[in-house]
Amino acid sequence: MRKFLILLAVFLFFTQNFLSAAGTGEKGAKVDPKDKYVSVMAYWGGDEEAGFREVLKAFTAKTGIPYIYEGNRDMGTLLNLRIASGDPPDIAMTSSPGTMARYAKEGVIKALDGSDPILPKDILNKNYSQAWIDLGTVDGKFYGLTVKCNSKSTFWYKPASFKALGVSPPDTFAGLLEIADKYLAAGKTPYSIGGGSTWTLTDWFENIYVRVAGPEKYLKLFVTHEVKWTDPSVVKAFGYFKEIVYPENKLAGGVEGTLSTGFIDGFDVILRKNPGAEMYFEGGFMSSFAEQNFPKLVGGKDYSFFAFPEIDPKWGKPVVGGGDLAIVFEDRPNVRELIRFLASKEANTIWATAKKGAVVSPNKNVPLNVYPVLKGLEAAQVTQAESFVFDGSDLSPSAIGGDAMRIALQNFITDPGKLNGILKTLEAAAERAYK
Amino acid sequence: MIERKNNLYAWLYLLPALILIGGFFIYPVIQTFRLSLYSGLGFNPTRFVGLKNYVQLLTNDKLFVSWFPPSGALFNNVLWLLLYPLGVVGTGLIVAVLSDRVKYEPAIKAVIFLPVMISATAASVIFRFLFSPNPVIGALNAFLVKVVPGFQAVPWLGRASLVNFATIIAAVWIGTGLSMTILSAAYKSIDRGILEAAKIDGANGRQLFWRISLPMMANPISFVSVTAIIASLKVLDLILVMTDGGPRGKSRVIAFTFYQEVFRNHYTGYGSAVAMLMLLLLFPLMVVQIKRLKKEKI
Repeated sequence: MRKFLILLAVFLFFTQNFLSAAGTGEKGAKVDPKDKYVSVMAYWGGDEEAGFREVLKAFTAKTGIPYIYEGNRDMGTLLNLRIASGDPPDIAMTSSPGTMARYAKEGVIKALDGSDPILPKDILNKNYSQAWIDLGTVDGKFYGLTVKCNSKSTFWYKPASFKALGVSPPDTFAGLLEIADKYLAAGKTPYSIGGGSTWTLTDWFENIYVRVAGPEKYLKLFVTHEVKWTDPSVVKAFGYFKEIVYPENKLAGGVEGTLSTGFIDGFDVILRKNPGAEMYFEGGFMSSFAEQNFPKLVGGKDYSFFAFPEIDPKWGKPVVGGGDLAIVFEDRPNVRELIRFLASKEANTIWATAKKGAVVSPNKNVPLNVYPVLKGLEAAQVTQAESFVFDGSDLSPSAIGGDAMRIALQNFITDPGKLNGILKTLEAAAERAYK
Repeated sequence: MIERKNNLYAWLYLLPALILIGGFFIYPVIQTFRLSLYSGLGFNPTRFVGLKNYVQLLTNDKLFVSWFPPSGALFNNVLWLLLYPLGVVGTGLIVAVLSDRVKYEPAIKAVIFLPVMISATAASVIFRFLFSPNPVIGALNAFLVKVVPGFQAVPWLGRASLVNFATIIAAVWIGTGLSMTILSAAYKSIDRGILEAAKIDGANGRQLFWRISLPMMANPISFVSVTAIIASLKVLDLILVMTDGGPRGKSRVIAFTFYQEVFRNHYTGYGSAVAMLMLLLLFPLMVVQIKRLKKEKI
């Protein structure tokens, strides 16, 4: 028995040591003279982390201020815990404007444009268009600096095919429909839609809706549900979508083909040798699939994109997409240094040209020629955007954006005539979800 | 006194099993039932709603069940319940009996058994390719377009009227191997003397099969059938990968609905109600199975 106890003690001793050693595995975490370091928490790992570390290293080289980076895939939970225990990181990166707004209202994050501003207005205005300032603003105060972003308002086409048809990228929705008609007349199918991956359909709707009703109503539909799914603005937006999907000879494989085609296959359809269609709509990230599946084709030449066209001149071409915002928990000189650095042309150029994990920067002073062609196009689109809204289906409860809305859109494509019933069902689901 | 001591021992021996059943079956069932009476998001829903989830599920959730005309996840599962066991037992039996008559039996059996060793996820991916509407990718369409003149490629997984049959076929392909193995063993264990005797008495091949072989294989067939029925009620992975419940939610089944509601929509209470209904449907089958295991050998 005594032997057993001794063994147990030894065992416990070692496991304790092992566990505590594992706990401090992160670089430099043992040292804790808090005001010396700037700590940043983000959910990035792998390439994304590597790209950001390049920026942080440049920051340390420039200012002599060391940093601590904490990467955690499940950051949301951890951040809440750290805030609750009074030990938040200095800066955190969030991909959710909703989370930022909640923290702002709870008073746990600092406004960056106070009387003694953490990030002076002139730096902000010099580097960012109004769309990005609006995105980081809660109740008139600026809280979130967008550090990277991506666009889901990219409409893919083949320049050679457009040339053969005698058209150029359309500026308006009517122009897009004209091109589709010309393709039909030429015996070709205009659109491919990866409607089997149902979220592609929500992206379609979001782009149309924000162009029909504007960013404010968009947020009211998806985030707060102040606008109901039976609202005339929604019906109107579906009307525009109908122009795309009806009659079904505009779609590669018709309705059923659309509903059984995944988002990558959908793009392949327009790129392969005997293309099933000529245009495809999905986010800027599609280029990476094209590179892998069609290594012989050249991005920007064989395939490229134009901005999802304008519907109502009042709203122009808002960009639907995603991004990460830096929010600040502690106001110290070193933290100010880093935030100002992150807003600078210098830092954003480093990040945009990082060896691994290069990003599209919302900073308008990053020269577009530092990007590969398609990334440069995407950067031009996001830096010049009149307004930027996050992917609405991601902002809404998952029972809506991840389920009911997708079924509704699939049903709509199958039978546009049943729109009223479809919207009623969707609204009923929404009433349950936003309760 | 001795009896009491024996009783104590009996309980002691039963204890591990009781703890396992209690901890991993009875307690979760009670907890699931409790959850199914609440509404709200996540695993700690706070709003008690009584049987409202069940009412919503059975009267107002068209994706789960639409009574007239019958459609929805519940009826899709009925289709699975009818066709999957039939397919698995039927093809298993045919292969078991026919392969017994040829020389290269082991090779045939190995090929048929192969899918059993592939994970359902991988098999689903294979069938997704096979059924693709694009003849460049979809082998089935490519074949039909070549062979049948004027054939238009069919989106097997994109057409609501076909999608359930397509997924069931994939499942049968995966499941046949195991049923074939069991049924083949049963077929081989039939006393050849009996068959010889029948032959001498003038029975033809068909009579041999229907009157002698089949009745003598009744037990293993019913075992395979019940297992297949249970599998058909629980099917999820295959549908998740092959169609994700689509198109338009038309290939959803009960387990899929449960998964969708709990893990994607975070309606834990509502999803628990689905799980309770599923258990209710499975329970009689479990009883049948256990009873049979008790009194007969396979």
